Amino acid sequence: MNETIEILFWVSFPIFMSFAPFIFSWIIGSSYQRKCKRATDMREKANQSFISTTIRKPTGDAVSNGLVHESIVISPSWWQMTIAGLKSLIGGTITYYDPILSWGRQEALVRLKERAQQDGWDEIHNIRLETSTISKKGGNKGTATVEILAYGTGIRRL
Amino acid sequence: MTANPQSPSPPAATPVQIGVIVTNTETVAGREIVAMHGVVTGSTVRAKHVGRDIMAGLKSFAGGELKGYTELLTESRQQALSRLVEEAMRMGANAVVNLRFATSAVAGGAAELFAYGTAVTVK
Repeated sequence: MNETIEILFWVSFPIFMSFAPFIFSWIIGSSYQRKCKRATDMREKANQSFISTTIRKPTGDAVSNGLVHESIVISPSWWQMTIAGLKSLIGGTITYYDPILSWGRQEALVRLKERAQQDGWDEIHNIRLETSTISKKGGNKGTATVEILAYGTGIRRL
Repeated sequence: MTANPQSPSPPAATPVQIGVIVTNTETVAGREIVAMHGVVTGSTVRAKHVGRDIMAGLKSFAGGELKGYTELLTESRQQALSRLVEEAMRMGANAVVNLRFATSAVAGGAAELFAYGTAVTVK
């Protein structure tokens, strides 16, 4: 009886140890990402009254113009990358990436608004959002990182 | 050190914006374009730091932002912008309109940050 338990232990232990990092990554990662999302939501609400548009030709008088740009580099957690890798074998939508990417965009926009206010602009126009892949996940080559860049023209009114 | 909202001087912006107005709109609001000088470009290629790469790999355990990379790319983009502004100044322009950014990953984990726009003279 004791021997069976021992054998079971030595069989299941390596299996558990090989999955443990991913399970911890899932637990820690999802709570950490939720925390980030809540913080960004709060800052977004605080900056809601700041005028920001995608209008290409702002009209009216202005004292000065200038470029504002902010970016963020984000990476999904190990767990998300593993699941996405498994999911890509059968195809279909990868819902595990959606939250992190949408959070990244939201955060980039909030940062752009904060930066514009810090630099003394009254409004920001012609906002563009760009996404680019910095590195792809491939074997041990590293992690899948994505850069989200937000830029626009700050305008100072009379 | 509080900013006076009535003063007409430009706000404390990034250093590259001093002297040359940079916008990504088609016109400069409140000004008139009197002369075109052509396309100006500025680019820089940055490779990742090995130490930073390892730290980023560990950081992505939980996902989220990789601050080291954000700083690196922002710094590099500033450099690309200042090169663009230098070129515009050499052409005798006092503004760059319709600026665009482009980022592409070139071989070996290096990223090229590229900015281009039209150098103009505004009145």
